Amino acid sequence: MNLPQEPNKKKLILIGYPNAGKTTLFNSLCKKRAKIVNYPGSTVSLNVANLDKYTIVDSPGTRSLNPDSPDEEVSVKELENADGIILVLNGTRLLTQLSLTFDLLKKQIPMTIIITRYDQNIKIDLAKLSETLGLNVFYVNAKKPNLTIDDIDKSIKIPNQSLFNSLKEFKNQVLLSLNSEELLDKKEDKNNHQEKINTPKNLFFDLDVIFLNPFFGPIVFIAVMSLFFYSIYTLASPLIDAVDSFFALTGEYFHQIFPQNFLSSLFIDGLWLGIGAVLVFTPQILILFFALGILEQSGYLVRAAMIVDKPLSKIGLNGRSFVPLLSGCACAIPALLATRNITDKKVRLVCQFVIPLMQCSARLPVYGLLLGVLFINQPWMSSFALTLIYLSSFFIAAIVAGITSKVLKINETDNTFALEIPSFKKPDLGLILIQSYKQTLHFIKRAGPIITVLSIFIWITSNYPNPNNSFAMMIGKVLEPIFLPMGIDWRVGVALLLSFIAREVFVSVLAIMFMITNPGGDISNSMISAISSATFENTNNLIFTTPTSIGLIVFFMISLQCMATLATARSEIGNWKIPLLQFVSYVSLAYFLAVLIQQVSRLFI
Amino acid sequence: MIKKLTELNRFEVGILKKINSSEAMLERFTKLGFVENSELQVVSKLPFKGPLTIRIQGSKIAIRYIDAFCIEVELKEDKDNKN
Repeated sequence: MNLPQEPNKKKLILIGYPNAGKTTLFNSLCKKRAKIVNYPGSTVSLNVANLDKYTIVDSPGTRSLNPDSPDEEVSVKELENADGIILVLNGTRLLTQLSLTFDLLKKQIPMTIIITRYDQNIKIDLAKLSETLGLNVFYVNAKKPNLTIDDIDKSIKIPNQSLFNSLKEFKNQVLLSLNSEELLDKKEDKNNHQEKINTPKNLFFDLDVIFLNPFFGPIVFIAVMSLFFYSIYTLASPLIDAVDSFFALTGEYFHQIFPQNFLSSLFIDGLWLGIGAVLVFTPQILILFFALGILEQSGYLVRAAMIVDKPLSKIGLNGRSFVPLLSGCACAIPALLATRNITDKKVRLVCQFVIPLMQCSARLPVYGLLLGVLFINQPWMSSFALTLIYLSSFFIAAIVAGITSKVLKINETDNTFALEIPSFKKPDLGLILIQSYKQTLHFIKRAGPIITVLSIFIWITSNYPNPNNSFAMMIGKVLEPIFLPMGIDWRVGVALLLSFIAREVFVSVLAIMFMITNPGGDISNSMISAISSATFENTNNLIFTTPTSIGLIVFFMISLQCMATLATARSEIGNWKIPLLQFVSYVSLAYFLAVLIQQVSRLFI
Repeated sequence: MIKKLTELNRFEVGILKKINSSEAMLERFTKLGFVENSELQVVSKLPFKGPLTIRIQGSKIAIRYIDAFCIEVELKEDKDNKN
């Protein structure tokens, strides 16, 4: 998604390092017509000016075209559809900005170069530089520019690609035309535009003294992460109960006011129940997106990435993998896309391989149900168990990552880590709330149609030709031998199979199947009581015994059941071999462990 | 006195003198602002040879211990003493 574009206007974008003077220049040129625009799909805001002939965009500071942060991602995305680039270079730090310049030249987008903050002592031969680069280069005082936008537009040219074959060659050529000795010899630089390092007394206002402290840093990290997971599960719990009761009560009400017929049953016992089973967990998903948004916008995630870099490097990952892995706790798909920020190819692959092991939000309804059954009147135990699930999954992911990195033979040169730590920002809560709301809506929209269709499908196949002898039963019974060793019957088995389409569906299907096959059951009971009292047909043996529930939890923890994830993995990794390997190994391991838990528990009973 | 960046204590200020690393790493360093004769300060050192946080050219940069080991720095106080 990009900013909406006005087709008749030329879109010019200001690009450059942080503190190059882009915004100052932007304000000098067009502040009157400027407004702040929130970039769609993120919490980054841009300054945009809509003039008569042009749209001018002031992009966030960028160090390279390999984005390290949401700000940089926005800059890179915006320049892709710009009509012209205005590269703004900080005249006192030309050397560090050369590779960005080179990368932009390679893009072959029409551009012009403006140098700000020039130091009188460093003489830059503009004409020579211009000739070397094949582009127009100007000195401009960002506060009082001597150029108009029309002038700038006229100076824009398409760079000549064949001038430089490599960054090294580019640098050498540029240094020659800059008279490099003067640039490097700071002893001569009396005005000294180099920023002096602040003396220690400023550090008391610097939160990094705590966050990156050798001792307190890791402690704060553990505290923040615990708070993060705690808020998602415990804060959400009253909301979950509220939604659950709502669906149960309305279901009962509908049964009372609507006549008993095919349509009302399809709607109430099929659709309403199926959808309700999943919607129950949306408060949790909303809180998760919100918490992640705060962590990201405040800048804390970068500090967290630094703290985990050392441990991660032991298993073949690095600090940059932290954000994709954490996003994987929301949904694997954006997490896989986030791995593009990992510059080291082998590390990226390990990270992509391990992301499906991160407990995504689609599993929450399943855990909500199974933990609810396990700890029927002990909600605090459920919270604790959920934390344990997360920690175990990290542990499993670490083992798999370790194995994968040994297989790929990752060594020091494959795994690097160096990045800029942005200053702390006060998170814009309103903006994050809107973003989280949109993301939750997207989650519902994505899962919604699937759940609706499958709920109706399951209701039909479970009721026809006859509730005691339905299609679902026929297929389920055939496959039952696979499910029995796990401790579940064909009904749970069918739910498990369908959950390969979308994990959340497991809950919907269970709800419908057990309500149907317990026709005398009290509808005002919540789903959890109905399922915890479910028995194997014609017996008094409970299906959801403790080992069975634990086995199912372990199954969902490890198994790769999301077709959308497989598809994204295929497009990010570039081939089918690896996603297929992930699918086969994770599903087999999950099944094996679930069966093992069940069989071992039987030895002790 | 020339020291390795990893030998600096927290909050010590130094001047970058030399970087002994691979071409690729050198490139990354330059992009981040690690240029000869820039002033830098160690802001934090994480335990067990974890990454260091360096203040340089107006920004805070995180680099690994192994990479910081390649950077030679002249302590600022020493330089003033020489004068």
